[in-house]
Amino acid sequence: MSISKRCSTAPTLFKRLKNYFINRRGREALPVRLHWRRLYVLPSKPGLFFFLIGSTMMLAGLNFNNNMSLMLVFLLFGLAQVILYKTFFNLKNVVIDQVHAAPVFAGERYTLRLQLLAPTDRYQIQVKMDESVDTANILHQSGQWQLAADAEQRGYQPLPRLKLLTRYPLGLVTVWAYCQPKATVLVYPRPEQPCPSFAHHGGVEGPDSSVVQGDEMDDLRTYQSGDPIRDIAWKKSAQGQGTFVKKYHLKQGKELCFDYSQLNLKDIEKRLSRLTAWVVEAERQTLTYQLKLPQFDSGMGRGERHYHECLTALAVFGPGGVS
Amino acid sequence: MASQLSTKQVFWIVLAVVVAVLPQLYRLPLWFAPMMTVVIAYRFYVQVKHIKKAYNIILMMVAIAALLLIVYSQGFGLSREISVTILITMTVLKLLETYRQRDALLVVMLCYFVAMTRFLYSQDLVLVMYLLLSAWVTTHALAVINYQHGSAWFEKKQLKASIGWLAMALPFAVLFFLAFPRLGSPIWGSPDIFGEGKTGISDEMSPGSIIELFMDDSPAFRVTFGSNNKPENNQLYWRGPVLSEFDGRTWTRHEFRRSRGQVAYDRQAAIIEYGIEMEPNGRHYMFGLDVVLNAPQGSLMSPTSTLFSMNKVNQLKHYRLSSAVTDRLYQRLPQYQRKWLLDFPEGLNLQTQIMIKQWQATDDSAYGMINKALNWFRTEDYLYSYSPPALHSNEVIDEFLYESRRGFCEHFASTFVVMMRMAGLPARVVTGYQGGVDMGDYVLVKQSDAHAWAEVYIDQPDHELGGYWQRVDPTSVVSPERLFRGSGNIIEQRRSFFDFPWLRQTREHLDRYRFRWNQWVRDFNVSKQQALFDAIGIQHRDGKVLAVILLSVLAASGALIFSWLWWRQRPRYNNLQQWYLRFMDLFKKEPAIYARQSAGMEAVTHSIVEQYPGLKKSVNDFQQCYLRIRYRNEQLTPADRRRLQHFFERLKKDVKKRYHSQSRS
Repeated sequence: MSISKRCSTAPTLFKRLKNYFINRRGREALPVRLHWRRLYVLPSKPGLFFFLIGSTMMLAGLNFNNNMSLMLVFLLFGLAQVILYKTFFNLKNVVIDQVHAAPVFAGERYTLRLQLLAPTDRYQIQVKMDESVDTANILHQSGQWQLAADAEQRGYQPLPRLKLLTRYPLGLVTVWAYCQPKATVLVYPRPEQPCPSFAHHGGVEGPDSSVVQGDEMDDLRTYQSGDPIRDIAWKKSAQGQGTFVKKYHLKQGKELCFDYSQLNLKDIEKRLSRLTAWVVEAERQTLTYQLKLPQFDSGMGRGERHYHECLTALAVFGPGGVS
Repeated sequence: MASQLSTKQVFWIVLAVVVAVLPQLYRLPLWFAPMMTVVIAYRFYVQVKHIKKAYNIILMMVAIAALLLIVYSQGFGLSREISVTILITMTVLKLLETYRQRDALLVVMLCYFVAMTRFLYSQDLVLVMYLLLSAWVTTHALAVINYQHGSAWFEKKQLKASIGWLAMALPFAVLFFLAFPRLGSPIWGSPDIFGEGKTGISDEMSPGSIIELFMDDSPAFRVTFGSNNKPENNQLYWRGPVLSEFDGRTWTRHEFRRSRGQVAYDRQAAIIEYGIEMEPNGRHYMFGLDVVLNAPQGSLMSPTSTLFSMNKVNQLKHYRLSSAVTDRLYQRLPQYQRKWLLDFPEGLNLQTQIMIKQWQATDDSAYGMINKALNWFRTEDYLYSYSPPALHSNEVIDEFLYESRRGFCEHFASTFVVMMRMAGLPARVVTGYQGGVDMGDYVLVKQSDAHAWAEVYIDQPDHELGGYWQRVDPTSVVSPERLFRGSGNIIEQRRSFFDFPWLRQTREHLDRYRFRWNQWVRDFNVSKQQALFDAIGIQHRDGKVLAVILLSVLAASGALIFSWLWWRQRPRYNNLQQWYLRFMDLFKKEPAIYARQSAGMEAVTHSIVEQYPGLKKSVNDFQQCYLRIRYRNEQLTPADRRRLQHFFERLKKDVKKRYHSQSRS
């Protein structure tokens, strides 16, 4: 579950204000340089313990006027000061250079690849995206991170907020920064599973394709929701043993057509899901296919490019896909 | 849960603990070292064999067992010893459950505390160096727990980094040390409980008891005389406890409940003033040159002319004294005191008693007796020796005088005083130190300079005080060099396996630094801080001024560290990269182009030409020149620089022209 979702279900005033403050820069076009003004600095838990031990030591040193104890304590406090700056400089001026996520189907996890740049070597920078964490170094001016998140909705989905965090070198101080990159991940609709058989939506029939239209049981199959009404074998169905539709023999070279308007399903998402499944299946079987959506026609074709064109059209179709 | 730490991390954690605990091992119970060895061995075994953490209940039992052992060997109560032992034991036992980073950080941070507790016992210069090393090891362990730069166990880069952080922390530490407000007196507990106690001269003396001190070359106190008024070494008798009660074997001190009354001394005696910096001895005695005139503040002068501090001397103590350099002190001797001072075990040491009786028959005067006794020591073959045969019988005086005939100061002083008492002269033993090493601007008196001598009361009825105490040092007739060269230098025989002259000299030489160290750092207190503030012109030290000072120290050291780190981590470009940056600078106001900086020269030129075809020629010229040099993989030559400059200027002009035309249109 994403942070934003949790917040929307139980938005306490504090959390809303906090998120409002953190997100005040809005979505930023990459590359984003982490200017010192956007870094947050606070002691970490071990840092607080360090401070506690130091204070106890100082009390003992002061009480017994033990100068060397005091010197050691002040040395430790000085060390904390040095570490504070060290940690700060470890994140300062880091550039979030680019993010990239390959398109996935809804319901899968997508992998976000992130590249950070810095003029000098930086160590142990953690990047958090929701619950996914990755730690890496910036060596020779660049470093790569990999994060994963659930793709829930189809369309061009905005990335969740990134949190860059470092405690290097001693873990006494946490320095972090937030960034919402103006980048998206393309999520295709969830393909229906198991993949239903192809329906006859017209399309160009190849020369050696034969459509068997009879009432024999062999040439019929049971009705599955969404089959065109005109394909229903009425006679057979009237016998009361179920609803049957005419089966079409598919042969190599058959050109398929998947038409949104011919699908007999009410829910848009279900229609898209079925079409996606067909596109995936057709591509897998290396068939030639055509996808027809309102205001989109892919034309006959196959191959990587055609495939992605179709899936992208499905992803951004209608009101569900955010673009 | 198996260990989440790497073997290297465990190694550094263990090293930090061992280094922190080691200097305290000598005062921990006997079972501690074996226990620590077992714990460490077990932890490594577990690490190598990937064994899971022991059950909590077992760890709890181990901890309770260790606590019981502590109570058994050190008693029960809230004392320094016990609380420090508990802290150290628990730190070591914590290793058993150090499997995660969180626990590891905890243990390592506790090491700082453990290291600090050692300072409660001593603040010696050498120890300070060691504990700085400990702080370094601990800091490095922290760094290794957080991130390992390499697999080598001693990663040079990381070791250097951690020592660098401590070095950067040093200015802050020193400034804060100087400016931080101090307490005049402790809020909790008295300095008697917590302090750097160390054995010195005790208030008892039995045959062989001083011998331990002879083995100890650590400093007892240091004396700074004014300009050129240091007396000769044979006059440096540093008076300590006076022992007047003798049970036949052991000398003990008589407790007086009042201070010294009226005294007088020879008019010719030189009066000298000097300062003493006394190392803590965990007792009340203070030492001064015989005869001390007045007790300094915070101390008492007992009727035996010994100085007593109000509190135990548990920290470095400074005081100023003035003394009359004389071996004769006029003082009234009350009748009841005379009785003690003549007391000796009547039925014992008959042989000596007979000899004294014979001496009395020839010359009954006090000085006659003293001279006879000293002559006896001189003419009979008595030997000054560190390893005299032990005296076992009840009659130690007879046994020493007629059988063993070998001994050191305490034997001679003790025997001499008993002889005087047998002759009817009130006498007592004085313990303290004799001599000292001249270190130039101060005199170092070591524990091994411990000495014992005698005082005999001589009646002088015509004086208003009725008599005087005469110092007699029987050791000086047996071994006259003792007074000039110190005990350590007159005996050929080595005191211990490690007793070499060069080592002794090195230690004496090192003491010079210790002295400075004590003066400037170890003994920095409220009054010295006040003097420091006065010196830099800050007169009022109320809370506000102090807060301002501390904050400015914080800000100054912060700025110092910040600028140093900023300078260190600034990006360093080679010459060609700088040309690229200058090139990019021309397009600072074009976000679309500037954003492509990281994509490289070709990509940037491409987008420039796309956006501004008018710049095509000058951009391409510059690019070609740049790339040719870039791929030649050599240093920039002056010719290159000229060429780059030429193309750059042209490009700059074109870019400017374009801006002008844009603004006009």
